Amino acid sequence: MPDRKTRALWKSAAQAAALIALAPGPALAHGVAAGDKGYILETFGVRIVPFMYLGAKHMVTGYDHLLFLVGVIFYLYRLKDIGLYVTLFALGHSITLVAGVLAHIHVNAFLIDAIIGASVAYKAIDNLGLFTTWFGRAPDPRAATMLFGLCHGLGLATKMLDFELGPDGLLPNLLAFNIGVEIGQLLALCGILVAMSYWRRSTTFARYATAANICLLLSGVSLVVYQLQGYFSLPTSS
Amino acid sequence: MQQPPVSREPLPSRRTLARATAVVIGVAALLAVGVVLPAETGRDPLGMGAMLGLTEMGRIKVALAQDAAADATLAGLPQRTVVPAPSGAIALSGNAWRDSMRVTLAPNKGVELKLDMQKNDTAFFAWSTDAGEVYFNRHGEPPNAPKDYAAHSYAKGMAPADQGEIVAVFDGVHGWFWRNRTNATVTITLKTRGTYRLLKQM
Repeated sequence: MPDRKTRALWKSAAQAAALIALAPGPALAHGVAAGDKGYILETFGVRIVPFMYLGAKHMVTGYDHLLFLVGVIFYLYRLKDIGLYVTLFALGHSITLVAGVLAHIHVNAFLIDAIIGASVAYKAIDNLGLFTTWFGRAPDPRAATMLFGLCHGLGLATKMLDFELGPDGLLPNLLAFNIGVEIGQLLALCGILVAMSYWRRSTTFARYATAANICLLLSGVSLVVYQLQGYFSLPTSS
Repeated sequence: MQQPPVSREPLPSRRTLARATAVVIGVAALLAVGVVLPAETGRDPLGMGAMLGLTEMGRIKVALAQDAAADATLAGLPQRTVVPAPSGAIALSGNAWRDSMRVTLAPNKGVELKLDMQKNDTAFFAWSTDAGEVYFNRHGEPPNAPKDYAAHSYAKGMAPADQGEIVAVFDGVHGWFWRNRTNATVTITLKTRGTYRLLKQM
Protein backbone atom coordinates (compact mmCIF):
# COMPACT_ATOMS: atom_id res chain seq x y z
CA MET A 1 0.00 0.00 0.00
CA PRO A 2 1.87 3.05 -1.23
CA ASP A 3 2.09 5.84 1.30
CA ARG A 4 2.96 9.42 0.46
CA LYS A 5 6.72 9.00 0.90
CA THR A 6 6.86 5.93 -1.31
CA ARG A 7 4.93 7.76 -4.01
CA ALA A 8 7.32 10.70 -3.72
CA LEU A 9 10.19 8.25 -4.10
CA TRP A 10 8.71 6.77 -7.26
CA LYS A 11 8.14 10.24 -8.67
CA SER A 12 11.78 11.10 -7.98
CA ALA A 13 12.85 7.84 -9.58
CA ALA A 14 10.89 8.72 -12.71
CA GLN A 15 12.54 12.15 -12.84
CA ALA A 16 15.93 10.54 -12.39
CA ALA A 17 15.26 7.94 -15.07
CA ALA A 18 14.26 10.70 -17.48
CA LEU A 19 17.55 12.51 -16.80
CA ILE A 20 19.57 9.32 -17.31
CA ALA A 21 17.71 8.49 -20.51
CA LEU A 22 18.61 11.92 -21.90
CA ALA A 23 22.28 11.51 -21.00
CA PRO A 24 24.67 10.49 -23.77
CA GLY A 25 25.29 6.77 -24.28
CA PRO A 26 28.04 4.79 -22.58
CA ALA A 27 31.43 6.35 -22.98
CA LEU A 28 34.60 4.54 -22.02
CA ALA A 29 35.34 4.65 -18.34
CA HIS A 30 39.06 4.84 -17.69
CA GLY A 31 39.63 5.55 -21.38
CA VAL A 32 43.28 6.38 -20.96
CA ALA A 33 44.39 7.64 -24.34
CA ALA A 34 46.90 5.61 -26.29
CA GLY A 35 48.97 8.78 -26.11
CA ASP A 36 49.65 8.36 -22.38
CA LYS A 37 50.64 4.72 -22.76
CA GLY A 38 52.72 5.56 -25.80
CA TYR A 39 54.49 8.27 -23.83
CA ILE A 40 55.30 5.84 -21.01
CA LEU A 41 56.58 3.24 -23.47
CA GLU A 42 58.82 5.87 -25.03
CA THR A 43 60.35 7.08 -21.79
CA PHE A 44 62.39 5.53 -19.03
CA GLY A 45 63.66 6.24 -15.54
CA VAL A 46 62.28 8.44 -12.76
CA ARG A 47 59.75 11.01 -13.98
CA ILE A 48 58.03 12.59 -11.00
CA VAL A 49 55.93 15.40 -12.47
CA PRO A 50 54.78 13.49 -15.58
CA PHE A 51 53.53 10.61 -13.42
CA MET A 52 51.84 13.04 -11.03
CA TYR A 53 50.14 14.57 -14.07
CA LEU A 54 48.98 11.14 -15.28
CA GLY A 55 47.60 10.29 -11.83
CA ALA A 56 45.71 13.56 -11.60
CA LYS A 57 44.44 13.17 -15.18
CA HIS A 58 43.17 9.66 -14.43
CA MET A 59 41.18 11.01 -11.48
CA VAL A 60 39.85 14.20 -13.06
CA THR A 61 38.76 12.45 -16.28
CA GLY A 62 37.39 9.31 -14.57
CA TYR A 63 33.70 10.09 -14.25
CA ASP A 64 33.04 7.04 -12.05
CA HIS A 65 35.54 8.34 -9.49
CA LEU A 66 33.90 11.77 -9.73
CA LEU A 67 30.40 10.34 -9.21
CA PHE A 68 31.62 8.57 -6.10
CA LEU A 69 33.06 11.87 -4.82
CA VAL A 70 29.75 13.64 -5.47
CA GLY A 71 28.00 10.91 -3.47
CA VAL A 72 30.48 11.10 -0.60
CA ILE A 73 30.25 14.86 -0.11
CA PHE A 74 26.54 15.15 -0.93
CA TYR A 75 25.57 15.55 2.74
CA LEU A 76 28.98 16.55 4.10
CA TYR A 77 29.06 20.21 5.01
CA ARG A 78 31.97 20.54 7.37
CA LEU A 79 35.47 20.75 5.95
CA LYS A 80 36.61 18.60 8.87
CA ASP A 81 34.30 15.74 7.79
CA ILE A 82 35.27 16.10 4.15
CA GLY A 83 38.92 16.00 5.18
CA LEU A 84 38.33 12.81 7.20
CA TYR A 85 36.59 10.97 4.34
CA VAL A 86 39.11 12.07 1.74
CA THR A 87 41.94 10.92 4.02
CA LEU A 88 40.33 7.51 4.62
CA PHE A 89 39.73 7.06 0.91
CA ALA A 90 43.29 8.15 0.07
CA LEU A 91 44.73 5.79 2.66
CA GLY A 92 42.74 2.90 1.16
CA HIS A 93 43.73 3.47 -2.44
CA SER A 94 47.37 4.21 -1.62
CA ILE A 95 47.74 0.81 0.07
CA THR A 96 46.27 -1.21 -2.79
CA LEU A 97 47.86 0.90 -5.55
CA VAL A 98 51.40 0.42 -4.28
CA ALA A 99 50.90 -3.17 -3.10
CA GLY A 100 48.98 -4.12 -6.27
CA VAL A 101 51.69 -2.87 -8.64
CA LEU A 102 54.61 -4.25 -6.63
CA ALA A 103 52.89 -7.66 -6.21
CA HIS A 104 51.55 -7.65 -9.80
CA ILE A 105 47.93 -8.06 -8.70
CA HIS A 106 46.26 -7.64 -12.07
CA VAL A 107 42.51 -7.65 -11.52
CA ASN A 108 40.37 -7.52 -14.63
CA ALA A 109 39.61 -3.86 -15.35
CA PHE A 110 35.92 -4.58 -16.05
CA LEU A 111 35.49 -6.20 -12.63
CA ILE A 112 37.22 -3.34 -10.84
CA ASP A 113 35.14 -0.77 -12.71
CA ALA A 114 32.01 -2.76 -11.82
CA ILE A 115 33.01 -2.52 -8.12
CA ILE A 116 33.61 1.22 -8.54
CA GLY A 117 30.10 1.46 -10.05
CA ALA A 118 28.83 -0.47 -7.04
CA SER A 119 30.55 2.03 -4.74
CA VAL A 120 28.60 4.84 -6.45
CA ALA A 121 25.38 2.87 -5.96
CA TYR A 122 26.25 2.14 -2.32
CA LYS A 123 26.87 5.81 -1.57
CA ALA A 124 23.56 6.81 -3.22
CA ILE A 125 21.63 4.19 -1.22
CA ASP A 126 23.37 5.41 1.92
CA ASN A 127 22.47 9.04 1.11
CA LEU A 128 18.84 8.02 0.54
CA GLY A 129 18.82 6.47 4.01
CA LEU A 130 17.63 3.17 2.53
CA PHE A 131 20.06 0.98 4.49
CA THR A 132 18.27 2.01 7.69
CA THR A 133 14.89 1.39 6.07
CA TRP A 134 15.85 -2.03 4.76
CA PHE A 135 18.17 -3.43 7.41
CA GLY A 136 17.52 -1.28 10.45
CA ARG A 137 21.01 0.19 10.40
CA ALA A 138 23.51 1.59 7.92
CA PRO A 139 27.05 0.29 7.50
CA ASP A 140 29.73 2.42 9.14
CA PRO A 141 30.38 5.09 6.47
CA ARG A 142 34.03 5.42 7.49
CA ALA A 143 34.70 1.69 7.10
CA ALA A 144 32.82 1.68 3.78
CA THR A 145 34.80 4.66 2.46
CA MET A 146 38.05 2.95 3.43
CA LEU A 147 36.91 -0.31 1.81
CA PHE A 148 36.01 1.40 -1.46
CA GLY A 149 39.29 3.29 -1.27
CA LEU A 150 41.00 -0.12 -1.27
CA CYS A 151 38.92 -1.18 -4.31
CA HIS A 152 39.59 2.05 -6.24
CA GLY A 153 43.30 1.52 -5.51
CA LEU A 154 43.21 -1.93 -7.12
CA GLY A 155 41.73 -0.24 -10.18
CA LEU A 156 44.56 2.28 -10.18
CA ALA A 157 47.08 -0.57 -9.80
CA THR A 158 45.55 -2.37 -12.78
CA LYS A 159 45.80 0.86 -14.79
CA MET A 160 49.46 1.24 -13.84
CA LEU A 161 50.19 -2.40 -14.75
CA ASP A 162 48.50 -1.79 -18.11
CA PHE A 163 51.02 1.00 -18.67
CA GLU A 164 53.75 -1.71 -18.68
CA LEU A 165 56.11 0.36 -16.54
CA GLY A 166 59.74 -0.56 -16.65
CA PRO A 167 61.44 -1.62 -13.39
CA ASP A 168 63.67 1.44 -13.80
CA GLY A 169 62.39 4.06 -11.34
CA LEU A 170 59.19 2.08 -10.69
CA LEU A 171 58.67 2.97 -7.02
CA PRO A 172 59.26 6.75 -7.33
CA ASN A 173 57.02 6.85 -10.42
CA LEU A 174 54.36 4.88 -8.58
CA LEU A 175 54.43 7.21 -5.57
CA ALA A 176 54.31 10.21 -7.89
CA PHE A 177 51.26 8.70 -9.62
CA ASN A 178 49.61 8.16 -6.24
CA ILE A 179 50.29 11.76 -5.16
CA GLY A 180 48.92 12.88 -8.52
CA VAL A 181 45.73 10.91 -7.88
CA GLU A 182 45.40 12.82 -4.60
CA ILE A 183 45.99 16.18 -6.26
CA GLY A 184 43.48 15.35 -8.98
CA GLN A 185 40.97 14.28 -6.37
CA LEU A 186 41.40 17.49 -4.37
CA LEU A 187 41.09 19.61 -7.52
CA ALA A 188 37.91 17.77 -8.55
CA LEU A 189 36.60 18.03 -5.00
CA CYS A 190 37.08 21.82 -4.94
CA GLY A 191 35.10 22.19 -8.17
CA ILE A 192 32.34 19.82 -7.01
CA LEU A 193 32.17 21.51 -3.60
CA VAL A 194 31.73 24.99 -5.08
CA ALA A 195 29.03 23.75 -7.45
CA MET A 196 27.29 21.88 -4.61
CA SER A 197 27.43 24.96 -2.38
CA TYR A 198 25.56 27.01 -4.98
CA TRP A 199 22.95 24.28 -5.22
CA ARG A 200 22.67 23.91 -1.43
CA ARG A 201 21.91 27.61 -1.10
CA SER A 202 18.96 27.26 -3.47
CA THR A 203 15.56 25.92 -2.43
CA THR A 204 15.75 23.33 -5.23
CA PHE A 205 18.35 21.41 -3.21
CA ALA A 206 15.86 20.13 -0.64
CA ARG A 207 13.35 19.44 -3.40
CA TYR A 208 15.66 17.49 -5.71
CA ALA A 209 18.24 16.01 -3.33
CA THR A 210 16.42 12.68 -3.37
CA ALA A 211 16.08 12.72 -7.16
CA ALA A 212 19.78 13.50 -7.49
CA ASN A 213 20.71 10.54 -5.31
CA ILE A 214 18.41 8.27 -7.28
CA CYS A 215 20.24 9.55 -10.37
CA LEU A 216 23.50 8.56 -8.69
CA LEU A 217 22.06 5.17 -7.79
CA LEU A 218 20.92 4.51 -11.36
CA SER A 219 24.29 5.69 -12.70
CA GLY A 220 26.06 3.33 -10.32
CA VAL A 221 23.84 0.41 -11.27
CA SER A 222 24.24 1.23 -14.99
CA LEU A 223 28.02 1.25 -14.56
CA VAL A 224 27.90 -2.14 -12.84
CA VAL A 225 25.74 -3.64 -15.60
CA TYR A 226 27.81 -2.04 -18.36
CA GLN A 227 31.14 -3.22 -16.91
CA LEU A 228 29.86 -6.73 -16.16
CA GLN A 229 28.52 -6.97 -19.69
CA GLY A 230 32.00 -6.00 -20.89
CA TYR A 231 33.53 -8.64 -18.62
CA PHE A 232 31.26 -11.45 -19.79
CA SER A 233 31.64 -10.60 -23.47
CA LEU A 234 35.44 -10.97 -23.24
CA PRO A 235 36.83 -13.67 -25.51
CA THR A 236 37.22 -16.82 -23.42
CA SER A 237 40.78 -17.33 -24.61
CA SER A 238 42.10 -14.39 -22.59
CA MET B 1 12.24 6.03 4.50
CA GLN B 2 14.48 8.09 6.70
CA GLN B 3 14.42 11.78 5.87
CA PRO B 4 17.80 12.79 4.44
CA PRO B 5 19.71 15.17 6.68
CA VAL B 6 19.07 18.29 4.63
CA SER B 7 20.82 21.54 5.43
CA ARG B 8 21.17 22.02 9.16
CA GLU B 9 24.73 23.20 8.75
CA PRO B 10 25.78 26.78 8.01
CA LEU B 11 26.15 27.40 4.30
CA PRO B 12 29.02 29.52 2.98
CA SER B 13 28.12 33.17 2.58
CA ARG B 14 27.54 34.60 -0.88
CA ARG B 15 30.84 36.45 -0.65
CA THR B 16 32.86 33.39 0.38
CA LEU B 17 31.28 31.42 -2.42
CA ALA B 18 32.03 34.12 -5.01
CA ARG B 19 35.65 34.19 -3.88
CA ALA B 20 35.89 30.38 -3.99
CA THR B 21 34.39 30.39 -7.49
CA ALA B 22 36.95 32.94 -8.68
CA VAL B 23 39.81 30.89 -7.22
CA VAL B 24 38.52 27.65 -8.77
CA ILE B 25 38.13 29.25 -12.21
CA GLY B 26 41.53 30.91 -11.93
CA VAL B 27 43.31 27.69 -10.92
CA ALA B 28 41.49 25.72 -13.61
CA ALA B 29 42.51 28.24 -16.29
CA LEU B 30 46.11 28.27 -15.10
CA LEU B 31 46.28 24.45 -15.07
CA ALA B 32 44.66 24.23 -18.50
CA VAL B 33 47.16 26.58 -20.15
CA GLY B 34 50.24 25.92 -18.00
CA VAL B 35 49.96 22.14 -17.48
CA VAL B 36 47.42 20.39 -19.70
CA LEU B 37 48.30 22.24 -22.91
CA PRO B 38 52.04 21.38 -22.80
CA ALA B 39 51.40 17.81 -21.57
CA GLU B 40 48.90 17.06 -24.36
CA THR B 41 50.10 19.19 -27.29
CA GLY B 42 53.69 20.18 -26.50
CA ARG B 43 52.73 23.89 -26.77
CA ASP B 44 53.97 25.80 -23.75
CA PRO B 45 52.98 29.49 -23.80
CA LEU B 46 53.71 30.05 -20.08
CA GLY B 47 56.96 28.08 -19.94
CA MET B 48 55.55 25.98 -17.07
CA GLY B 49 55.56 22.79 -19.13
CA ALA B 50 59.30 22.93 -19.76
CA MET B 51 59.90 23.63 -16.08
CA LEU B 52 57.78 20.64 -15.03
CA GLY B 53 59.05 18.29 -17.73
CA LEU B 54 55.63 18.03 -19.34
CA THR B 55 56.39 19.61 -22.71
CA GLU B 56 58.42 16.53 -23.66
CA MET B 57 55.33 14.42 -22.91
CA GLY B 58 53.23 16.55 -25.25
CA ARG B 59 55.85 16.44 -28.01
CA ILE B 60 56.06 12.64 -27.78
CA LYS B 61 52.26 12.28 -27.88
CA VAL B 62 52.06 14.55 -30.93
CA ALA B 63 54.86 12.58 -32.61
CA LEU B 64 53.05 9.29 -31.85
CA ALA B 65 49.79 10.66 -33.24
CA GLN B 66 51.60 11.80 -36.39
CA ASP B 67 53.23 8.38 -36.71
CA ALA B 68 49.82 6.73 -36.48
CA ALA B 69 48.37 9.12 -39.07
CA ALA B 70 51.37 8.55 -41.36
CA ASP B 71 51.02 4.77 -41.01
CA ALA B 72 47.37 5.08 -41.96
CA THR B 73 47.99 7.14 -45.10
CA LEU B 74 51.56 6.12 -46.05
CA ALA B 75 52.17 9.84 -46.48
CA GLY B 76 54.91 9.73 -43.88
CA LEU B 77 57.12 7.29 -45.77
CA PRO B 78 59.35 9.81 -47.58
CA GLN B 79 60.23 11.29 -44.17
CA ARG B 80 62.41 8.33 -43.32
CA THR B 81 64.70 6.71 -45.80
CA VAL B 82 66.70 3.55 -45.32
CA VAL B 83 69.68 2.81 -47.52
CA PRO B 84 72.16 -0.04 -47.20
CA ALA B 85 75.48 1.48 -46.16
CA PRO B 86 78.52 0.76 -48.36
CA SER B 87 79.63 -2.63 -47.14
CA GLY B 88 83.30 -2.72 -48.13
CA ALA B 89 84.57 -0.28 -45.52
CA ILE B 90 83.06 -1.90 -42.46
CA ALA B 91 84.46 -5.42 -42.55
CA LEU B 92 86.27 -6.23 -39.31
CA SER B 93 88.97 -8.86 -39.11
CA GLY B 94 87.32 -12.20 -38.39
CA ASN B 95 84.10 -10.58 -37.29
CA ALA B 96 82.80 -9.03 -40.47
CA TRP B 97 79.44 -7.31 -40.19
CA ARG B 98 76.84 -9.12 -42.23
CA ASP B 99 74.37 -6.29 -42.74
CA SER B 100 74.42 -2.56 -42.50
CA MET B 101 71.63 -0.02 -42.79
CA ARG B 102 71.45 3.73 -42.62
CA VAL B 103 68.31 5.57 -41.55
CA THR B 104 67.72 9.30 -41.75
CA LEU B 105 65.21 10.74 -39.30
CA ALA B 106 63.61 14.16 -39.49
CA PRO B 107 62.93 15.87 -36.11
CA ASN B 108 60.39 13.95 -33.98
CA LYS B 109 60.31 11.03 -36.44
CA GLY B 110 60.84 7.43 -35.38
CA VAL B 111 61.81 4.23 -37.16
CA GLU B 112 62.04 0.52 -36.38
CA LEU B 113 64.66 -1.89 -37.72
CA LYS B 114 64.17 -5.54 -36.83
CA LEU B 115 65.90 -8.89 -37.08
CA ASP B 116 63.87 -12.02 -37.62
CA MET B 117 65.15 -14.45 -34.98
CA GLN B 118 64.39 -17.82 -33.43
CA LYS B 119 64.50 -18.23 -29.67
CA ASN B 120 68.09 -18.13 -28.33
CA ASP B 121 69.52 -16.85 -31.63
CA THR B 122 72.29 -14.33 -30.96
CA ALA B 123 72.87 -11.19 -32.98
CA PHE B 124 75.75 -8.74 -32.46
CA PHE B 125 75.19 -5.11 -33.28
CA ALA B 126 76.68 -1.65 -33.25
CA TRP B 127 74.89 1.57 -34.10
CA SER B 128 75.77 5.22 -33.93
CA THR B 129 74.39 8.57 -35.00
CA ASP B 130 76.03 11.42 -36.85
CA ALA B 131 74.55 14.11 -34.58
CA GLY B 132 74.22 13.34 -30.89
CA GLU B 133 71.70 11.42 -28.86
CA VAL B 134 68.56 9.65 -30.04
CA TYR B 135 65.95 7.80 -28.03
CA PHE B 136 66.24 4.03 -28.48
CA ASN B 137 64.25 1.04 -27.32
CA ARG B 138 65.81 -2.35 -28.02
CA HIS B 139 62.93 -4.80 -27.91
CA GLY B 140 61.30 -7.89 -29.34
CA GLU B 141 57.80 -8.93 -30.41
CA PRO B 142 56.36 -12.38 -31.12
CA PRO B 143 54.89 -12.96 -34.61
CA ASN B 144 51.37 -11.59 -35.19
CA ALA B 145 51.39 -9.65 -31.93
CA PRO B 146 48.20 -7.65 -31.40
CA LYS B 147 48.48 -3.94 -32.12
CA ASP B 148 48.50 -2.94 -28.47
CA TYR B 149 51.01 -5.63 -27.50
CA ALA B 150 53.66 -4.16 -25.22
CA ALA B 151 56.95 -5.38 -26.60
CA HIS B 152 59.55 -7.12 -24.50
CA SER B 153 62.14 -4.41 -23.88
CA TYR B 154 65.81 -5.37 -23.63
CA ALA B 155 66.95 -1.80 -22.98
CA LYS B 156 65.92 1.76 -23.58
CA GLY B 157 67.47 5.16 -23.14
CA MET B 158 69.03 8.16 -24.82
CA ALA B 159 72.40 7.57 -26.45
CA PRO B 160 74.56 8.67 -29.40
CA ALA B 161 75.71 5.07 -29.99
CA ASP B 162 75.35 1.57 -28.60
CA GLN B 163 76.74 -1.90 -29.17
CA GLY B 164 76.26 -5.38 -27.79
CA GLU B 165 74.25 -8.47 -28.51
CA ILE B 166 70.64 -9.55 -28.62
CA VAL B 167 69.79 -13.05 -27.43
CA ALA B 168 66.23 -13.62 -28.59
CA VAL B 169 63.96 -14.50 -25.66
CA PHE B 170 61.31 -15.91 -28.03
CA ASP B 171 60.68 -16.52 -31.75
CA GLY B 172 59.84 -13.22 -33.41
CA VAL B 173 61.28 -9.92 -34.54
CA HIS B 174 63.89 -8.27 -32.36
CA GLY B 175 65.53 -4.95 -32.91
CA TRP B 176 65.39 -1.20 -32.35
CA PHE B 177 63.00 1.65 -32.25
CA TRP B 178 64.67 5.04 -32.52
CA ARG B 179 63.18 8.50 -32.28
CA ASN B 180 64.93 11.73 -33.12
CA ARG B 181 64.00 14.12 -30.31
CA THR B 182 66.25 16.91 -31.55
CA ASN B 183 65.31 19.76 -33.85
CA ALA B 184 67.72 18.67 -36.60
CA THR B 185 67.94 15.69 -38.95
CA VAL B 186 69.86 12.71 -37.56
CA THR B 187 71.30 9.75 -39.45
CA ILE B 188 71.67 6.41 -37.67
CA THR B 189 73.95 3.66 -38.97
CA LEU B 190 73.32 0.09 -37.78
CA LYS B 191 75.61 -2.88 -38.36
CA THR B 192 74.70 -6.45 -37.47
CA ARG B 193 76.01 -9.99 -37.64
CA GLY B 194 75.04 -13.29 -36.06
CA THR B 195 72.19 -15.76 -36.38
CA TYR B 196 69.09 -14.09 -37.74
CA ARG B 197 67.10 -14.35 -40.92
CA LEU B 198 67.01 -10.82 -42.23
CA LEU B 199 67.30 -7.19 -41.32
CA LYS B 200 64.20 -5.22 -42.20
CA GLN B 201 62.45 -1.95 -41.65
CA MET B 202 59.09 -2.38 -40.00
